Amino acid sequence: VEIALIFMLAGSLALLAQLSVLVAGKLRLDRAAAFERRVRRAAEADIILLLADEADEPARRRFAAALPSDPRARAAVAALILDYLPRLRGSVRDGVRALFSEAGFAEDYRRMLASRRREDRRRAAGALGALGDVAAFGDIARLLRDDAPEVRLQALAALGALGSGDAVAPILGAFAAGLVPFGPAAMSLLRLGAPAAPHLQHALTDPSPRVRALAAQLLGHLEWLPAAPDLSSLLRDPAPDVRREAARSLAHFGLDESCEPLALAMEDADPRLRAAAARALGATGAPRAVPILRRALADADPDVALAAAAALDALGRDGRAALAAAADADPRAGACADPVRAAGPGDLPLGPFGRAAAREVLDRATLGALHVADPAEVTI
Amino acid sequence: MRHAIVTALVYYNVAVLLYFALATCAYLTLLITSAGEVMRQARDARHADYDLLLTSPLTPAVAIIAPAYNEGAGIAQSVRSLLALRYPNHEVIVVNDGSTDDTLDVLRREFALRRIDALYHPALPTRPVRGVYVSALEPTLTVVDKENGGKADALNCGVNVARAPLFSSIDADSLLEPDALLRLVKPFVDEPDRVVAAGGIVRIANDLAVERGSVTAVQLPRRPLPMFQVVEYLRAFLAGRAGWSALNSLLIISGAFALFRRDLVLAVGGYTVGCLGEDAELVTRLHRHLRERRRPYKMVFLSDPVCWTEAPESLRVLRRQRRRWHRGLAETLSRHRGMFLRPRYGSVGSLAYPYFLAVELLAPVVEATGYLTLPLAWRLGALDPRVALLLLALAIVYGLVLSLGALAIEEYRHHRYPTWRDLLRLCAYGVAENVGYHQLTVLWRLEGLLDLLRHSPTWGTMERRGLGAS
Repeated sequence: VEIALIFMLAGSLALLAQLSVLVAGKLRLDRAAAFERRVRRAAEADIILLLADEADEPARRRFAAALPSDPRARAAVAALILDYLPRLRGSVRDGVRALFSEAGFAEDYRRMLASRRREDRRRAAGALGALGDVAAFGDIARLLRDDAPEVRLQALAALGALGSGDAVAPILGAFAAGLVPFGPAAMSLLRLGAPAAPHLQHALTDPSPRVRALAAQLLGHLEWLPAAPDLSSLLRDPAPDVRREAARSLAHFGLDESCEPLALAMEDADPRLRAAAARALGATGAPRAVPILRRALADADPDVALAAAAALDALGRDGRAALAAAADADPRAGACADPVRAAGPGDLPLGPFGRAAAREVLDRATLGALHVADPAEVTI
Repeated sequence: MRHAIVTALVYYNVAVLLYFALATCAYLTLLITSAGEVMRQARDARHADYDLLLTSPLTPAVAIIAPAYNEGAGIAQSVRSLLALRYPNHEVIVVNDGSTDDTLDVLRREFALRRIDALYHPALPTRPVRGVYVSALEPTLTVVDKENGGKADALNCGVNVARAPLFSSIDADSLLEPDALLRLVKPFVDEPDRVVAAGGIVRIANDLAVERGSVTAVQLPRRPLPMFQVVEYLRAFLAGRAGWSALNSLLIISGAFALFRRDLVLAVGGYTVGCLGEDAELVTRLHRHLRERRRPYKMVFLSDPVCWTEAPESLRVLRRQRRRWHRGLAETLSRHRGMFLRPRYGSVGSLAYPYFLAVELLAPVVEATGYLTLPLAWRLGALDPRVALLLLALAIVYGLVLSLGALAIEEYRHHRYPTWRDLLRLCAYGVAENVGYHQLTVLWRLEGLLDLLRHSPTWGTMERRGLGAS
């Protein structure tokens, strides 16, 4: 009984504490929401007027002078301005950035980058990135080696938003050191755009296969043509991930001269690389890719056969003719488990999936209902 | 003889008290861990740029697989809502699992389906496929018509048809919030080489205002039975799964809204046909597969991607559902009993498995035997009414601690039920469930265990009013 009573007492106290937390929390949230609404309502009208005037300097000064001194209210106004930024362009955006600086917000955030509180560092990096505050580049880059993973991630995003090619080296360094994961690093580098491309091309020779694979993938997305020969060479890289990413990237360029290395890649043991190479061959538009893809219809992997069929469809008249011939081949050929001689053009084998792949692609193409994810575009 | 029975009862009571104390400690630890995890997720979500994710070519393609069995009444609305999700690169695969109603006809008519010759490679064996259809109106919709084989078989068929690297299993009658998929995919984008599965929160949709497949206003159900389930779901997700996610030991990711890596699911052999808890069984098998190969991985629960689902409104249907769930849990734990307390399975074998076995699976047995011994103890004069009442009050108080804890997390993090009236109703149902409703669920879960022991056949379908219907 005594033990139960002690439990009871503890439970009741916990319950009371929770009830108080719940009620106090709800009151606090309601009050905070009302406060923010009030501050925002008051400042929003001024900001809209400023935007209408393209935020000229005297107007900005007046706005900065009229700002509340209460830190919470200032934070709410700063958040409001940051909300506007992604939707603004050109001189209006520049005006709002200037407003942010003149109101002292940028300085506040730069100081916060060195704060002992990780949430402050994180918030500051996010705000300065959104603001495009190039002056903070060095401090933000240093945060890539912060102790807190969430701060490092925010620093990554901020560097991406700043748009300077100088960010590539620190980002790749942090990635190679395992301080930041693949996805956010890739997103950030991609966001840098063309300024990042030469640095990424240089990274294709990095000793780390992870870095080479990342660079290869991004150069394709950036459609950086000067990297095409290097990417073709990477099709013989010892790391399968690197070969695969190189093939995927070559699909973005569609260069005739990639046909030979891609044809060699079609002999690789990795079916994901073969599927990627098939897709890249389709993108070249070169008639000499037709026989290579026609042979690939007989691949033992259904995804490769399907990728080859889709690539033939993309090759235009010659490819579609080969595809139609494969689709009309003897049905027994398609149903057979072993590669067999089909009644197709050139008497090439169709394998277990070739005929079905050809028919599916033709049917889907007729209805404009191609697969959302082409097997060659699998990125995970 | 009497003395022996009384002595046995005393020992039994001591054992039950110890069990109660341990279970309560486990629940409270989980509650605290969950609160920390949900708050961490809240901070992450505040800084996340979902618009960037929406436009990035790095966002992976997702195949949404919706198995449908006799869903003719609501299938068109569900599919429209799935097609309209805010996601850059997703396809919807509806698997008509041999419906005997007009599900396929409705889909044909509403989406102008055309039958195609498709390459169907049964990497996972399934019941025969009768046809594959694509839509002349919606290029990203594929419908597969197959012979009836159950939900797991239909999901396997969808996995075979999917081409995307990730697939999401969705109940055909559920409703996703527009950016739910985008939010759920974020961990995969962040750590593509580690994250293998993710699950979102499932919320009760009864009496929700729904227009054209979208939720227009959130409100609590009017009827008591779904209200009890709202409290239960909040407790299960916000005071349970979030905690297991923090420990990377999630054993259950709700099949109503889950996201998996397709290659891994293929590697482990897909869903187990004939297992009632196919979602939990797959998750447990993935844990086992990856831990045995010492591969670093993560399975995560996120509390902000929301899937709305209709809860049973009759005791009969609810009873069937709970029996099925508990039997599914028992089947899963039985199939993977080799993980129990084995160090090679890490926190899954040493924490999650023992918890689900002792606290989730056996709780109804312990509780029911407690109720059954009461009259016996009374008859033998071994029952002290004050102690009995005290223990009952204790159970209610700690039940409330958990429920209010979940409500507090909900209130701080999500604030979905904004009015004071909502909060009061939720608290009231958190109290009321302890008298009657909870005991009924104990009984049904026991029945589920008995069904498993008797190898009883599985049972019927959910009766639905339809989302947005009043």
